[in-house]
Order: sequence, then C-alpha cells, then structure tokens
Amino acid sequence: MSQSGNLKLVPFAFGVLLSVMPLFGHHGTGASYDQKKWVKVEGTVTEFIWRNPHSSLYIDGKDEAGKPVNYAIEMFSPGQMVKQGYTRNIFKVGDHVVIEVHPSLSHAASGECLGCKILVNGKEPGNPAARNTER
Amino acid sequence: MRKIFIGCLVGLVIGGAALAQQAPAQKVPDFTGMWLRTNAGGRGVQLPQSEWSTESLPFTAKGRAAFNANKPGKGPRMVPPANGNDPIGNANPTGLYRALIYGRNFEFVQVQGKVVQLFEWGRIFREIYADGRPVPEDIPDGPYWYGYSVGKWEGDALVVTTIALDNRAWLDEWGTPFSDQAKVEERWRRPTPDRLELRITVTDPVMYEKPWTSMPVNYALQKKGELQEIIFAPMDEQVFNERIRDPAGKADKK
Repeated sequence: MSQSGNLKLVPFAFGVLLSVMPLFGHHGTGASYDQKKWVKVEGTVTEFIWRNPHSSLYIDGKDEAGKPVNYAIEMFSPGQMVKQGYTRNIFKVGDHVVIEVHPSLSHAASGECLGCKILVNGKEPGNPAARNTER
Repeated sequence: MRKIFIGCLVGLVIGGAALAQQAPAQKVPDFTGMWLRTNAGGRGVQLPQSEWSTESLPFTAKGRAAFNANKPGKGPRMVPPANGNDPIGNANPTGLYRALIYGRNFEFVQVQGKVVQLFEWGRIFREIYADGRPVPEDIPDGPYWYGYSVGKWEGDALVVTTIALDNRAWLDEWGTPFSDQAKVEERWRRPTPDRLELRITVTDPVMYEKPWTSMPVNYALQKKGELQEIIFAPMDEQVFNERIRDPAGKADKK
C-alpha cells in the first residue's frame, strides 16, 4: 500500500458564479470553503470514510512547495452519493485520484467536493450518467 | 342457566351503549405520503433573518440579543463552524422546527386520533395528538427537543399547537431563537394533491414583541424513493470536526 504520491494543488479559472448553495449543503460549507474557487487535487487515497451525514476522503501527496501533505475532502452523505451514481467502493487505498474541490478558506489542506468532478485511476467512477456535477 | 342469560344480556346492553357513545370517525384531510420542502431558505433565496420569514422579525431586546448570540453555519450570518455555536454541530438534536424547515424528506402517517411525522434527517419521529384533547397548560417532565403537540382538524387544515419546547434548539438553520415560553401553531394544508403547505405562528413574548406568522413553506409529494437514514452520530461528528470542518474553517472569512 503506497502512502506516497503526487498531490498537486492547481488553482484554475472559475467561470461560474456559485451563489446558490447545494440542496444538501452541509453546515458551514459556505463559510468554510471558497465557493468561488476551484482547486484540482491529485494524489493517492489513504482513507475513505463512507458515513452520514458527510463522507470524507483523504489523499496523500505533496503540496505546491513539494512538502508531503495529507489532504482532507468533505463529500456528500452516502445517500446523496448513491443518487449521483457512486458506491461505497469507489475509492480504495492506493487509488490515484484527481478531484476538483472548493478549497478551505483557512488555507488548511482541505476542500469540499459536493457534486464535483472525480477521476479514479483515470476514469470517472460509478455511473456518470446519474450525476449532476457542479463542474 | 337463567343467570348466564341475564349476564349475557347485561353485557350486550353495556357493550351496545359503549359503542353508541363512540363518535363516528371524523373524515379528515389525508396528508399521508413522503414530502420534501421546495422553497424557504437556501438555494440562493434571499431572506432577511429567518428561513421562515420574508419579513424582519419583531424581536424584543432579549430576542435580538439571543439572535445575535447564535452563530449559525448557514444563511446570511453564517460563520465557519469552528467559530460558531450551532447546537447540531456536535450532533445534538435538531429540534422540531429545524426538522420541518430542512430540505430532507419526511413522511406523514395518520392513524385514528394521532398524526405522526417521520423525518429522515436525524431519523426521528414526532407525534401530534389529534384525539380531541386540549392543549395542556404544562408538561411536567418537559421541555422536549421536539415539544408536545396537540392537533385538531379545521376544514381542510390540520392545526397543531406545540408547547414545552427545549429552547437550546433553534427555529431554523440560521439561528432564529425561541424561549421556554414559546408556543407555536402550525397550520398544514394540502392545496393540491402534490403539494403540502405549512405556516407557523410563533407566540413568544420573551423573544418577540408580537406573534409572527411565517411565509407559506411548501413541500412536494415524493412519489418515488424511501426515507433515508441521516443520523449525526456524535462519534462521527467529533472525528469529522477534528479532521476536516474545524481546520477548514479555523480562520474567519478574509
């Protein structure tokens, strides 16, 4: 099991105003993450917690300065993720993921992915047709 | 033999009299089904203070102080949860009115003399006694997170009065307060087969100078799906807060 990997934080242009909160926005989501900014996070899965009311994903890699970091990502509840075509098995430890998140406003190594784009080992996991992603 | 016959006769008479005294079942509106809120706060709706109201609330001085002291994680006054004091942030109960205003499915179940609401958010239920009993003056072992509710049918409406509310809960996601003196009336209607409407009237002289009535909150009938289990387990919330939510929101917005 590899705990290492490349985690690249790549801020990119944000073209859509996100003034509308997600239907199942978690408490503090709007206040904790920059809803006007997207960051692409790439790295290796160290842990995935499939649990109500918010699932969470942890990725090992390196930050922009090359420093090892474990990045935490807030995700939907299992029920909502199933509606979006995901399953509890979408992430396994060691998988390589690329995920676009709203980054933490405090600049902590964390972000929010409520309906974002996810690639696991180069592919969109689960049933992409069921999804209504923000991006 | 004669004694047995007389005994049976007396039993029949008493039983018949008891049946005659039972009122015929009242035909009441049918709200059964699974419902999901379709308007109110969230999703970009602009409301001044509360998810329940398009108007500013008539706070007393104490009410305004309580409102200002509540630091929610949602709405126009939202702060990062690490800097807030939302009671459900640590997996405390949502309380009744947050369950009613939140955008999660709930189900109406009607039985003789009682209406039950089943909420997937928190996986909780709430009973409304609709058997003709009066609203009690007090609930000796209260207050309750979900209050004590008595309902009556008025035409096409179910009118519910709730007392004994635990005022550690909030009225909504945005930190609208109420006191231990609060009495809340709900008026439920089903204007169309697929829509349910709720208005609440909050009477709380500690927090509000006069009673105020909410805007109509609408719920759409959900013809597919099932209630989910959305439980906030303290052991999960604690880990989530420590590992993600608190670090993510440690600093105030810049």
